[in-house]
Amino acid sequence: MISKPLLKQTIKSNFKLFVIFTAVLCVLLSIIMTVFTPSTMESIKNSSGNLPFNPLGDISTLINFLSNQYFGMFALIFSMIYLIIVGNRLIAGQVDKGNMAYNLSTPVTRTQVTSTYALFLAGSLTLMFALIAGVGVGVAAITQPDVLDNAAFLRLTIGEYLLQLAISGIVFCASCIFNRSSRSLRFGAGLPILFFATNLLAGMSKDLEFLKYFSLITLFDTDSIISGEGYLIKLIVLTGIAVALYIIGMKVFKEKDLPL
Amino acid sequence: MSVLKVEHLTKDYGNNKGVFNVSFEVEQGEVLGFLGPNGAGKTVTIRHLLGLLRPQSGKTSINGLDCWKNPKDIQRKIGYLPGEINFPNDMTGTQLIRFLADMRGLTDMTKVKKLTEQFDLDTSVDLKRMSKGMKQKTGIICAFMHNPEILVLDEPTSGLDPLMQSVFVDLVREEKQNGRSILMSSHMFEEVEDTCDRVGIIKHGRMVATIIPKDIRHAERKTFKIEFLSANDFDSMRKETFIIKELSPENNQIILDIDDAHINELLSALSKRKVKFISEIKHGLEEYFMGYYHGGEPNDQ
Repeated sequence: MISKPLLKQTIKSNFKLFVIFTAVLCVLLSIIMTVFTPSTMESIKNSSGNLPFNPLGDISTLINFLSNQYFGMFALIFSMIYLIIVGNRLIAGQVDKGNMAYNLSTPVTRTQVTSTYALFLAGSLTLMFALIAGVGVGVAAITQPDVLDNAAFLRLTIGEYLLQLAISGIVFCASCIFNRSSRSLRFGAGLPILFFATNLLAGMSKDLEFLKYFSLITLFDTDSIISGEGYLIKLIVLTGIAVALYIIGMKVFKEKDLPL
Repeated sequence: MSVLKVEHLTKDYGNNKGVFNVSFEVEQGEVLGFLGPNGAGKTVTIRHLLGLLRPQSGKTSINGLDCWKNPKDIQRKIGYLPGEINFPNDMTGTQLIRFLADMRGLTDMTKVKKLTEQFDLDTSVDLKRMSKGMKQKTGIICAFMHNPEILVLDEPTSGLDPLMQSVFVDLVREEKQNGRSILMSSHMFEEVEDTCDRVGIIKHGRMVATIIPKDIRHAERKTFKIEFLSANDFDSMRKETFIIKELSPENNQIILDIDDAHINELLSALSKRKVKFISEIKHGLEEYFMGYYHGGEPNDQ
């Protein structure tokens, strides 16, 4: 189904980017795990005691802090940017530039090409979050033994991973549909950024809360993931969206005219 | 036996862009030139042959396989040189060649070595640092490296200097001798005149003629330009029964067509008059081609 030489080549040309983003995410996570000990958080709470709300969100426990700051911000933004860059340049970028002609002038089908790229995009994302999970549990065990709720942390990591998988589906699908990089980005980057903005606005005031129904990020419901109830169905929906978008993208790419 | 077939291919992009009811064939061991001005539809036709575009109507096939439905199988038979060379920019030439060899499952690199030497190319250079000529040479190597049965070359000599153009012409001749079939598009007649067995001319997306360069060069009808010393001789010559194409009384010049069979009639008519000079106007593909370029039909068809 996939082309091994193409996968090898794809790994080679995207390896640096993957390492940079993964390293940044792991380092950030380690820093948070190391710095935000219960005593630090207590002092933050006290110093901001007279504010009506805490700008850092719920910081009563490490897991709540992680879910707001790490999974709600850093991991969300950085892995999104990674997916947008890589997803776009894998297909639309190569069609736009014209070098896709070289892949397709060899004995492979279009579906082999797209499934190879899909495997790389989803696979590298999986590896990224596997590393994040490993680093998170490991660093927490060293710096703050017994403070982190490991099970909740892993559920959050999986949740974030599936959200990003759905976003990768959007980027991939747009990349398959459009022959121009700029148009592919309009959807592949535009939609995820829109979701992010809507999600931020929805959290700001009760009047804007309805906006959450317009954001995919709502399906990554950190509160229910931490409490451990009612999150499963949302994650299944995210997975379904991801799978559907990948399949649609590959189908469209197989059938369309290519200006190469 | 025809190995490559385009049958009533139509792809309408609107505004008279695209190709309309184009048909032609390339026989086994034949070099077919595909000549036309920019925007005539050469590249669109070629993209159909590679299975990159779906025909609106009609079909293209290679070895009897539909190009749109079996791109994987036809790619095994084809070597393709795109008209616009756009390499990935994070590789060297050697890496690209290696990558394409892997994609094709090719292990025998003797052809690559031979071509690299013939074209005097240093493939270790980064693709994005390469000059236009170097890129073109790299593209040619990528198209020929796996000894394909059929070569589809979109403006193969663009960017090559005259020396390398002749290396390329030799390469095409050699491949032809090995029984390869070649489709070669171009907008320059010199390029196809020497190498092609037949030349199809396309204009505004329509095939307007198929010609055989050899026949043009060895045509039985020849054209001569004759200048007379006196206006009297010029006038009397006009009244003879020759096929006159052009007259310029101001310098007593006549341009006329004559079949080889009647050449003696011309000679005896001239012997009675005082001729300043006589010269043959060579029929080349250029004349044909320019005729089509400028919208009209060539004079002698």
